[in-house]
Amino acid sequence: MAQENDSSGEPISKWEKFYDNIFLLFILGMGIPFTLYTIWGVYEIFSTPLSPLVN
Amino acid sequence: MSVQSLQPGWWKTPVHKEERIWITVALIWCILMTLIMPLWHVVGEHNPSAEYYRIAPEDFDKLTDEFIDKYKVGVEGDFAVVEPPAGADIFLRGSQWQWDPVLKLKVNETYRLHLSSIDVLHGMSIYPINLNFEAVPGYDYVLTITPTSTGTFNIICNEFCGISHHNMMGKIIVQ
Amino acid sequence: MEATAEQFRTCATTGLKVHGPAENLIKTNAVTAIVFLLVGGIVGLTLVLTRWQAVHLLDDEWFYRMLSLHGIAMLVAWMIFFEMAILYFASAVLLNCRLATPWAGWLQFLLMFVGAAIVAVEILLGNADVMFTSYVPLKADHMYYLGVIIFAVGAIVGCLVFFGTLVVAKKEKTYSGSMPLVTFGAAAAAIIALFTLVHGAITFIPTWAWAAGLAPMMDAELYRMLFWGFGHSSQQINVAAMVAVWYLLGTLTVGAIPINEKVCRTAFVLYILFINIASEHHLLVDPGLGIEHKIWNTGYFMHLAVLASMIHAFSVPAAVEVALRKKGFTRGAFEWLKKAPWGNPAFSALAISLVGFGFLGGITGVVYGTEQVNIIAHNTMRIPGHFHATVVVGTTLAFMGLTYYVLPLIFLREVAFPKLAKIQPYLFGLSMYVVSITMMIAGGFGVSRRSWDMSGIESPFQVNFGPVVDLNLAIMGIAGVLACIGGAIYCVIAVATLLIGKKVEA
Repeated sequence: MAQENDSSGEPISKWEKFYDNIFLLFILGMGIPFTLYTIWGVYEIFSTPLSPLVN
Repeated sequence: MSVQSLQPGWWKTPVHKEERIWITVALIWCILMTLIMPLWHVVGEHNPSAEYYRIAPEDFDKLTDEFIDKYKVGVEGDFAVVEPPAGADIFLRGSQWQWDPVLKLKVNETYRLHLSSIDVLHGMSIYPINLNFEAVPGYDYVLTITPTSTGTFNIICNEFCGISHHNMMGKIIVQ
Repeated sequence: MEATAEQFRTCATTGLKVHGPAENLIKTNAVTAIVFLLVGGIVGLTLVLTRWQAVHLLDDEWFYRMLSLHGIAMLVAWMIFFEMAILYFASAVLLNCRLATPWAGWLQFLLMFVGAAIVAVEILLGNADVMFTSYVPLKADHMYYLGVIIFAVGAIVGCLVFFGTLVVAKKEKTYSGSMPLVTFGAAAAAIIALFTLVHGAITFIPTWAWAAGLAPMMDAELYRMLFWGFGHSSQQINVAAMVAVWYLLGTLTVGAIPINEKVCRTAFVLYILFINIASEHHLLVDPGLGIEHKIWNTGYFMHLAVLASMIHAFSVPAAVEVALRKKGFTRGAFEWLKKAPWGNPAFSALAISLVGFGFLGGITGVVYGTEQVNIIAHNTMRIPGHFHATVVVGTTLAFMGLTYYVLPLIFLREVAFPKLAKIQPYLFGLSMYVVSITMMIAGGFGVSRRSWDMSGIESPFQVNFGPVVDLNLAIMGIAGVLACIGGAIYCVIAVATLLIGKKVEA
């Protein structure tokens, strides 16, 4: 990720490293919607109560 | 250039004032949009129902038949016309390709409408007031409704349900 | 496998090193995409002529069949084949790198082509009158689902080749610092694509097993939820790819430089993180999902993914303005706009795509996706009105604009019929504006989408929508025909350029 021979010698910003880390973005981009939409959604659907009109 | 790689240090470039203003305005708008949906559940009267149950399509079919037998007041073509008392549990059954039964309701009375399908997905769209809900087999979707105007309303199926989908029309009469 | 020097050529215009195998894959995918656009366009013409009530061309069976094919050919095949070309371009070409595992690239093409072909044939044979959504319990022949699965696997392979190329470029140090913005945008599209395709797999594999008689049916609501993780997210790939193409077109047409890379990249990161939860928009009036789930997910994580689009909506035109002002168009507030290269089809495509996507597609998307508004918009013609503004005016037109640069730069041929090319984006884009708007208006009156006949002509209870709706649909019909002509011109230009276009020096 980091450029070892950075000419200015300054450390590279953490944000630049984060944005360059496509793999980490990939993990987050899969994980967040999977948790919020898919897993939560599956939980909601399977926790639907049975109809009280049917005994 | 958007096609050239960037040398380190780009994060430090300050954001121009005009762009900062734009982003701030957009962010405020986004927050308002986010708040309005839950807020409307508190102050508004036009919200999707959160009452639903799991029900086998055969059971829903039977419940609708019982409902029709109990409150039937006539027929219109092949359809039973049903006039339930105010406050009753009423049933609307979607099947390929009809909405059963024809409902006769009283204005300004509240009913619990049970919406489901006994075969494939259907969509209940009430014309001309344009209210749309999904009829999903296996689910009893309970909509608490209060008709506020009299007249005849059509129920258009708006979820593709097979080749005769466009002929799937139902009727609600409000007196 | 190391790439040899002979496999590369240096582009005379841009100075970029172009890897031969990557270039061949870009060409093949782009040409296939255009073939599917042509098929989908012809089908689209029959559809618009059917919903134009006075013409009512097709019978009911063929209308629904063609509607299924239109969705698959356009939303899936045209878009994703073109996006594969973009992924290979943004990785191998822009990073001056060899394409990782070209054989896997060809596997991607083969699988996607076979999958799309199976799906198209199944629909045409009448074995899959189930629409793009194929909601269970409506059942198609099991080969249909298999075709979708094969296509999706091909697209997954393509995304992996893209990521592999990013790794190779980093390892072989073909670029220094951070990757170009266009590549970053393409990476966002690829990440969104993998989320999409994983949902495609978990939706269609069990459904295929059910159709083949090997497994019980999936719960109908569960199918809807999982399907839209695929169905809507696939359109978010188009959004991310389109925005990357906007930046690319800005640079190619007027030399635009993104005014702040930090802001642009943050917007793409917001897409990656949050845009896919918006699949919930389709489920707002469904049973089985609670209010909290609906509000939170349609809220795009506090609308931060919407904020991202708002950022691009500022950042792309601002970059274009700055570039044009640098060229000396500094008089008054709008000289740069007046003197912009409106005759360059890539530039006019960019402008029409950006404005149409933002004002017609984006805003309606966010509004119709509001829980309460959705009650009056769900499954009415407002919805196709919305997505014809996003996917057709937005993405398709942006890709068309890009083609006018791909032809000389990758295919090394001068664009044929330059005068026709000049008017093509206007004809296609502006007609589609009208199509979208008239669809939304008809939807406002409660006209349902996916309906062969809105009045229920053979039904015991008929509906009379009245002359306003008929007029609207007639305008939609005329504009739709014009848009089809605009699309046909694009296909003719592309094909003619490939066959008879003058060769450009490599």
